[in-house]
Amino acid sequence: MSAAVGDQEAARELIQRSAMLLDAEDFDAWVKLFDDGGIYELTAYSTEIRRWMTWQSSDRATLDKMLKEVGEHVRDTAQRRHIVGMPLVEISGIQGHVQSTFSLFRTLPDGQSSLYMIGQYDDHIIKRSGVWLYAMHKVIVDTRMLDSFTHIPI
Amino acid sequence: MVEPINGHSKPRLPETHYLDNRIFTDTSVFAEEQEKIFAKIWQFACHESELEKPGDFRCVQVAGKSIIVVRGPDDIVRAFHNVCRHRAAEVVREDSGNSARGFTCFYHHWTYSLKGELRGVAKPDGYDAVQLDKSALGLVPVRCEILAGLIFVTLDESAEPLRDFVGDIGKGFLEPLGTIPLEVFHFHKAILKTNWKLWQDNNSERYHSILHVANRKTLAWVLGKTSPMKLRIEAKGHSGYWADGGEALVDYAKGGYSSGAEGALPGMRGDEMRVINLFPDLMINIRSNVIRLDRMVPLGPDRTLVEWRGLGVKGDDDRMRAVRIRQHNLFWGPTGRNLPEDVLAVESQTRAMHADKVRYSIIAREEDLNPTDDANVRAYYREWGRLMGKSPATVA
Repeated sequence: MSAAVGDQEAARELIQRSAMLLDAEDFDAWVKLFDDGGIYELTAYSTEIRRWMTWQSSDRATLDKMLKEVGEHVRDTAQRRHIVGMPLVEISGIQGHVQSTFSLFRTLPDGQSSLYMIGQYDDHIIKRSGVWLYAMHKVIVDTRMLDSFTHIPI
Repeated sequence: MVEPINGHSKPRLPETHYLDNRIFTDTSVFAEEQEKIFAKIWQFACHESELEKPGDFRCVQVAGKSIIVVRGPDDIVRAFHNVCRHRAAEVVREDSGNSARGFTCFYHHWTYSLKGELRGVAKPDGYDAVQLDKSALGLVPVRCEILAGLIFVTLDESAEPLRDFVGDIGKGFLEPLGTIPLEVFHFHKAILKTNWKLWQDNNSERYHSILHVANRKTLAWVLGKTSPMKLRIEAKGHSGYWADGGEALVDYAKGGYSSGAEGALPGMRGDEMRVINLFPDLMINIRSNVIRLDRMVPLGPDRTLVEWRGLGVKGDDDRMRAVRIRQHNLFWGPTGRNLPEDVLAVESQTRAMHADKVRYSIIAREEDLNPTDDANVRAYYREWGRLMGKSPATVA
């Protein structure tokens, strides 16, 4: 495998691993997918106020604190499952741009599943010591009417 | 002899201190509320900044009616029923937009000016025989007034002026909202599986602050006995709570959160928090440098569309806007600390109330207007009872 192909594969694996770690609620491992200066951003376009909105913008330290508090919150009991499409990857040196679409489903404790959210990831990644990490993990959601609000990243 | 426990027994409390839960579940009560409350009272429609330019419009639901709110070429904001005078189709089909040249009904292309006048009809020759009087066929106006940038409408032509309706509770928000240009930077909505009153109730009563880990960490009064923050109870079911003292009331640092003091709004101290609840369904929540507005559209006894707006100062640079957005999202965004918990609470109440195994809710705390006193909740339901002509404690 060439270095370029290897980087592309590693970038795709980062996106899939990220989604699977959230589904497993392994937040410590998920936060480690971010570069030290990495940012998680959740955005949406409102047709009502006709502007882009930032629903969350958190650096790694803030994410870490937020996710360590998840267990203290009263929260949605549904199990979440991401389905992530094949990412498009552009690599340039130690930086990359990765775009993917995703669907996020919820399954209630009684077994009923429903579509929770659809959207896309528009990620900028960076290679540190041979490992690809998020410099900017940007979530752009299409779904704005949510069944339940969440303390967990999308 | 010990009486068996019966969930339908009235609490041994003054009738003002409990509620019959059927006011939250009964379909006839819901229908009556639409007629006696929502069709009569001033209701928040949107913020002035949502109608920045002539032709900007918002379409909102009030008491089951679709209302267009639009800024005219003369900069005046007006409201109209969203119904074409020809064959009663909806003239506007979007939630918002700009229609600077006026409105054209999609069905038969009748056109209206931004002032609501019927300007033209398609193929006008067909009306020559009956001499159609266009001047009598403008969009039907709805009363619309603005206070501190908040646009209100009422379907009742005889309603008192908006300023009189708001009364003295205005002192809690007129300065921070009305003395500096603000704009809406955040909007999201959801259909909550709950009754509309339970959401306003949740926004009013502070006893439930104990539910929120973030509040337990940052507000000493949540677990303490007294507070510099006091309930303010005004006429017409309006209430609020804030402090006149100089204390830093929200100790963000204690919770490990970032401060909200930078860029405090006019009249607000750093890290001050104020909540104002206007009867029946508007909450204004101010955390020093940022504002949250909750607006509701009741859809049924157990379904409520809630709209959440976040407001900051118009003209902020990118850094300052980011500071306000961060503060807003920390507690209130769809991924904020408190909002998900509040929604779980009111939906849980609704499920249990429909089961009707416990018929009464208790609103009996008396604590000298400390935040966890239920006096504001009692005032809210007292006004509900006045308008409905019945006691909220005895529906049947």
